Amino acid sequence: MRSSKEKRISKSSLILFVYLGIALATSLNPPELFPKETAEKKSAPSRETGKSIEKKKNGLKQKRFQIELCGGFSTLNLSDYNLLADYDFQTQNFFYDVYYDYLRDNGQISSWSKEQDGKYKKIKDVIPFGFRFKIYLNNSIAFSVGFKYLSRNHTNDLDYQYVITENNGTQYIDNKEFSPYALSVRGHAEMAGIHFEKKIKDSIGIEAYFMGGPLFVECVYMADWLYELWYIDDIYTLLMYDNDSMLEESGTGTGFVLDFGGRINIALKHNLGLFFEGGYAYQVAKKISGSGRETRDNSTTSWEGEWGIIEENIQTPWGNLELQFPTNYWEGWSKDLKIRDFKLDLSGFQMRIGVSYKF
Amino acid sequence: MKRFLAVSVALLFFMYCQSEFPQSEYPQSESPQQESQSLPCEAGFITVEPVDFYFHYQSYFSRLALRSSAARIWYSFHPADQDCEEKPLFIFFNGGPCGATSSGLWSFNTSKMTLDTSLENGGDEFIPNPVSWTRLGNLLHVDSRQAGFSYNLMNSPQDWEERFKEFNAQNFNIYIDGADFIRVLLKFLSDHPEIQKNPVIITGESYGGIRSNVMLHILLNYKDYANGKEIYQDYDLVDKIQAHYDTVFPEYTNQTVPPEVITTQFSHQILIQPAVSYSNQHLVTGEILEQEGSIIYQIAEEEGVEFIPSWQRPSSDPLSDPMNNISDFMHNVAERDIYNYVKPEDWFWDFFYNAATLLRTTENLSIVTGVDVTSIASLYASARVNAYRIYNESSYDAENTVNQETNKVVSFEELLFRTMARKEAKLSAVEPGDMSEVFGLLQPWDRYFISLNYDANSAFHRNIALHRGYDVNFYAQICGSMFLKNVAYVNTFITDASYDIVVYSKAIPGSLALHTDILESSIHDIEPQGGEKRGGRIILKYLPDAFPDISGLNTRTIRFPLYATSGHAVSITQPAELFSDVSDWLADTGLGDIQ
Repeated sequence: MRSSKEKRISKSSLILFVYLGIALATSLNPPELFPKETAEKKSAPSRETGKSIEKKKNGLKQKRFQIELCGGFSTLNLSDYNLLADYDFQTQNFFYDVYYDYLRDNGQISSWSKEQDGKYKKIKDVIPFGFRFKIYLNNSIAFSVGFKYLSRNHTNDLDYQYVITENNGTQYIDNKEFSPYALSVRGHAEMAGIHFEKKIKDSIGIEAYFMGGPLFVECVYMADWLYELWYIDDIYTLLMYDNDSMLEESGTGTGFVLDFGGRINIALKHNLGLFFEGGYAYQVAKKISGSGRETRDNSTTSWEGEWGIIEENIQTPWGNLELQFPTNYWEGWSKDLKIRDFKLDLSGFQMRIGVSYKF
Repeated sequence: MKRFLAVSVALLFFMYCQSEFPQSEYPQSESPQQESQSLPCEAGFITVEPVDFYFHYQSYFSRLALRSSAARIWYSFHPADQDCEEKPLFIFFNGGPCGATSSGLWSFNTSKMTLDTSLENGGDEFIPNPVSWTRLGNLLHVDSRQAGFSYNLMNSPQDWEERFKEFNAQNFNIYIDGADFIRVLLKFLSDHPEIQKNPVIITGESYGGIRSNVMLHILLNYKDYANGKEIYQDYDLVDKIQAHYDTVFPEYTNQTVPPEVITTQFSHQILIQPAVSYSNQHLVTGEILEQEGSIIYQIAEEEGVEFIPSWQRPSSDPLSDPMNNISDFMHNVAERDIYNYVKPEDWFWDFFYNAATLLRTTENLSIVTGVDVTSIASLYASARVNAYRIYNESSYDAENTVNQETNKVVSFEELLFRTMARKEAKLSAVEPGDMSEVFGLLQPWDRYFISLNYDANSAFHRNIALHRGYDVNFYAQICGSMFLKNVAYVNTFITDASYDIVVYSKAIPGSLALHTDILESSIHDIEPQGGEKRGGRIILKYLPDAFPDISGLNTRTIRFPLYATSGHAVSITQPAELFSDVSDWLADTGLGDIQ
């Protein structure tokens, strides 16, 4: 759910974006150019001059505006955010696999086994979509304003089961089912840029671009799980303990985008074009904050907070575990454990394919 | 002539004591009527509401959050014989865990009335106690959750699978157990402003040593139980402790009260054959008793049987554990009482069994409490529709219990309590006494009285917290650490009973010495000092910086008198000697004098 603050930011950015577009359109297409052409049309309404024939033949060159739609694939470097999945995996491993190994090695249990279906998936890529409005200054240089949207949602079910057999034959079954276990990120950026284009054939050109602008991001972590502990002896199979829990933490924030790369333009019929783009986007947002919600045993706690990275050192009789992970829950955690700010880093290499239309 | 005088004195004392409990003037319980000068006897229940708490290993997401069930905790209060408003308050409890104080310390030579311990099983009536501890102070006897008369409450108690879930870590672990007693104690004190600021002497037997460890550690370091430092976090409890300290130590309002100040109230602990560092005690006891020439070998010789030490058994054999092996030998081979090895098997439990039987009679209960118990509303069946005591009625069936015993490999503690479980089973179908007639017929899962709640005791050994790796059993090393830290502040008295094998007190000094991160040495000094009839001390020499928050800690001395003819329950076997030593020790440490 988006906050009203973010809606306001998006609205103002859209206004800024439209304003930039108008400004570019008016500044890069000086009004005096059009009256001259209009005068020509007025002076020779019934016959075509050599100049106007030349313009028709080379229609592509004469079109000053272009709109583009594109989509593709982008790698991501979400190192901070993916610590959540790392944390969940490592704590499961430490509190189950390592712990039961310890008990077995010390003769406190006879054996244990494990079955798991699903993984704590990290977000490693994203699907970007974009729209761009370009205004050509001349055949080689264009300015643009554009909009880019990125989204990735990993929602899956995950469950695992441990069977522990005590020395006297009594068994315990730990059963934990996540439904869902989800990590998701979204972002959009409103950018302005400059493009340098060179024709290498009649219908093929190459282009370099450099764009930048504000970035608006959102991330949501959601884990809803049921934990059950079953007791099994010679006589009974009994549910000894169960716990239905949910944890949701979300955040929104702003940053900026620097997007640069190159592309190949292929002219098609009727002012249509096709392009393939490749490049790198630096897309980082800091000061991420948002709401959180936790439910344990039918009791729900809610909070608002800024995300940060925590380091915790878990010390148990069977070993120590040092972990870093992001959270915005400062009622649950001591702020003393915070080691640095959190950043949502959507940077990465991207490949896009798109279509363009000149007019 | 001497005999005549003795009988006359006894008769006069009996008449005096009886005159304090006139049947027609029993005070009301559960809503005690306060008197300005003299406190009345009281008995009834203090309700402990459900509490949210959690265990953690400094990790929020992996914390285990639990909510305890509501409990009605049975208590009996007897004011000091004289100047009760000036006297300390003794809070008594037995062990188990989940063993009843009512059929333990309360019935044997601490309270105003007692069973006659010179008779087999204590006889069949309660008589005035010649060594009533009311001469030393005010007495508060408390049954732990689900033991004795105490009972828990839940929704849908008729669903036995739901009842099974109740016997778990939210209700049974060393911390919530200690916290229950703190809650009851503080509630009782706040209800009795006349003695709210008086010194409190914690008096526990057996597992009660662990309970005392936990209680004192929480009381002395209370802030750490809500700031994330300790494994157990209980905000409600810390709030209650703070509120109590705000009253008792107003000069520290809104400040953390330092332990040195807290121990002006919680200044003494008396531990009768206690578990204090139980895993170490278990280890050291096994080593001592399996040595050639130990008392175990002597018993084997006396009985003409063979003792096979644990190290001669294969490691896959449960009896390869020394204490399991010793317990098995005492029960099944020598047939001696492991709580008092000069006696035949079950000698100790028979006292408790007898007390449990007698206390189920309304008249007896009124005599022992000094209260007309028919005025205690929460005893009535109509007030306990949501009450439960056990999860599986068949576990209290004698035949079933025996079957379980033959089929399962059990731990040392479980084996100990099986005997009592068998005896409870005999009482399960129809409880003895007149309580069903007076208070109404209970549901099958409810009981008026349970001496040792086997289901609850088992929950201390098998629960979600232990399963998930939280070290909250009384085997945890932290119990010994807590004890050694408490002793730095609190005057401590421990009994050294020669005939006890369950808590083999000769192993206590050595077991404390194993805390090498805290102690430089732990020495047992047996020499009497200053005309003492029974000598004995444990001298603890602490390492520098053993506890960074305690400066200048060097040595501490624990009074450790020898009871040469005592078993586990010293108040049964040598009550006068125990009373005498306690009163001398209190006088030596600044509290009390015999009236």
